[in-house]
Amino acid sequence: MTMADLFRLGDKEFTSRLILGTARYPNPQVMMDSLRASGTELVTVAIRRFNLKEKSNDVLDWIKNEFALLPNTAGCYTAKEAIFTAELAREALETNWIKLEVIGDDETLMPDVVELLKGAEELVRLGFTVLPYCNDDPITCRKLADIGCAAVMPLAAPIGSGAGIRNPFNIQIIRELVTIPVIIDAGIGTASDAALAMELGADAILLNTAISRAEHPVMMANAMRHGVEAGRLAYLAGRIPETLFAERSSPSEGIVRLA
Amino acid sequence: MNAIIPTPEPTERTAPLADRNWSGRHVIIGGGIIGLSIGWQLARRGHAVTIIEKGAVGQGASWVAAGMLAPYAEIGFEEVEFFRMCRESLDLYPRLLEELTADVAGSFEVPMLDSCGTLLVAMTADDEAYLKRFHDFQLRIGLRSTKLSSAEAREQEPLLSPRTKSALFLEADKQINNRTLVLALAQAFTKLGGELLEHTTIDVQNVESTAAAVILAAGAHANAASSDVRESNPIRPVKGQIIMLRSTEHFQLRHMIRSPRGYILHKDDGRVAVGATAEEKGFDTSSTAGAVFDMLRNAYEILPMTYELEITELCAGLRPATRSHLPEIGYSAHGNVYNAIGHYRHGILLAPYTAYHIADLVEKHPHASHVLHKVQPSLHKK
Amino acid sequence: MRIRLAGELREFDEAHSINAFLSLINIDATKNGIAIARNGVVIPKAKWQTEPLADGDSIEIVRASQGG
Repeated sequence: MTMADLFRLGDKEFTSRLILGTARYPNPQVMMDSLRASGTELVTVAIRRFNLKEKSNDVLDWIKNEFALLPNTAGCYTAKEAIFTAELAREALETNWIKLEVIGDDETLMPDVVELLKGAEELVRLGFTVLPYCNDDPITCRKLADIGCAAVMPLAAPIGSGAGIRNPFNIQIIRELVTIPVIIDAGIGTASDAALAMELGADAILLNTAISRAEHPVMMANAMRHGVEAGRLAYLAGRIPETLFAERSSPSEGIVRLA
Repeated sequence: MNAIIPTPEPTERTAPLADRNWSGRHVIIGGGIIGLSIGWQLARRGHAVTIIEKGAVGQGASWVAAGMLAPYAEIGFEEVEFFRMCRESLDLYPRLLEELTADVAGSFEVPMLDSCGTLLVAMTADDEAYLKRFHDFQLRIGLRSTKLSSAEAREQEPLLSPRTKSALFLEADKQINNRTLVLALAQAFTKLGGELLEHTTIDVQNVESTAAAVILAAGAHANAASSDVRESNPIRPVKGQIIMLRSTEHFQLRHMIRSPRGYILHKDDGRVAVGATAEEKGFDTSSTAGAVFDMLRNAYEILPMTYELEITELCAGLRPATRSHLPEIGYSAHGNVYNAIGHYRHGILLAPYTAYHIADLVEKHPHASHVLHKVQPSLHKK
Repeated sequence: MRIRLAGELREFDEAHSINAFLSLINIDATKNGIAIARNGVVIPKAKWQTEPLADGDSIEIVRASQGG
């Protein structure tokens, strides 16, 4: 990769353009090996009640030693709940970064746009670096950018579905409409999905299930790393235009013909 | 354990064991299925053995477990090597039961191996995709896995919901009544002269200098009994909730039933075990509404007749898990200390393997020196 | 005193600050990674020593867990 293609997000800079979730791996060892193989520098965590019978959390301590944590508001249905969770996360993890998730229902896990905008506005006012998980809707994304979010994180397809980029045109429009980073969050199924998202102009990818539920998660983490890097390079390199007819690559002169 | 609300654990008694001279006895820390089966095996080979159990013998995860001996249904994509260990253990079960039957000599019930197989069912299109991927994997590594249509599955298991889309039949999986098994092991152990100290805790450090061998088999509580384990291969508890229903004469299952969301087993004593969750909740063992709801809903969707069954128990156990979820069975860093820890979901299944291998190691059998103590995660090469 | 801890009303010995309450329930207050809310309001760590606790207060204690 060319030097200094840094990913700037909020007040931080990253070399990796891959953000990973920490759930649903076969076991903690495979999770850590996958996170390491992916090259990620930022991983998401949820905020949950502390169980009094749990004196320490070995797995979380292990993650915390090697990666920056991005808390999320998963499981929140209203702006109010999400703001409360964000405040708890800020206190627990000493970060004002928050992946804002406000969900409409359990079947689709699609964002509730009204509550999302409300929550984002309030969290920005409270000084958070807000990274909202949102629909692949350009207008919602523009509004989130106007509010002052640090990035927009449109979904490619439903969470955990692995269905790939359902609407590449919208992702391109979003890329055109906002100047803040665009992070594709949810729906990535395999490395080519990640590469395509990057080619469409995404700044980074956030994913979890595509790696954690792969047959060989560490190998897939490595594949995703390459997919993201390949897509990013292709985007920067500028692809050729598509043509209907062939364009000869070898010279037309000097071809030896049979008499 | 008849009450729906589990009885609270009795408070531990700190026995004055720290100063005891074990003068050549083998000391096993932990009286669950693993500690009991090792203790019994050593006792029947003529050794002086003491088992020290922090609660009541066999009443932890070994009691709450469903007693599935189902390596074929449970194999993970990167667990082919581990699967071989599981299958070896399953193959050792007849020998264990035969020896155990001889030892209790009719004075106590020894459970039978139930060769019922697993029916892995798909209830939705997403389940079918899951089953296909699993079936392909099993065929690729040479395991027997039979695909059944909805009609075939329901012919094999008449109580299955008509909404069953398809199923995989894994005929080599078996089950056992783990409760009668642990009781029979404890019975045989004491009958063979073994010493059983319940409601007692002790640290490996307090016994290793005078005991002939110390075997750590403390399940989810292994960290508390050994600083070595705590630092080198920590064990954490993974909570598993389970529901026990009572079968009726109309509710009979021929196989173990599983879906991607859980299982339903018919045990030989009339219990119907519906499980199980996997939760990171520390040492909490409460039963919760959401988990019970999810498990019953899953059972109802697969086997609608479960709707009518009486609930007899709600309980939760703590699976002992290493970071790799693979067990550590064998030598520790200290000469006379052996680890038999981290059996996670496979304690009942791996009891024979663990018992015979640890007993061979302790007796320094020539072939036993080749037994590696940790199964390493391995990539399956296609 | 009665405190509603994680939604469950329970009887505790008197504790006059968040810190005192934490030691009552055997939680190491210096440990990183937990946050506390009293009656739906997050209490910053800096105030755990001084923030009073009253009969009937509702306390939530949270930490990070694995998530996507």
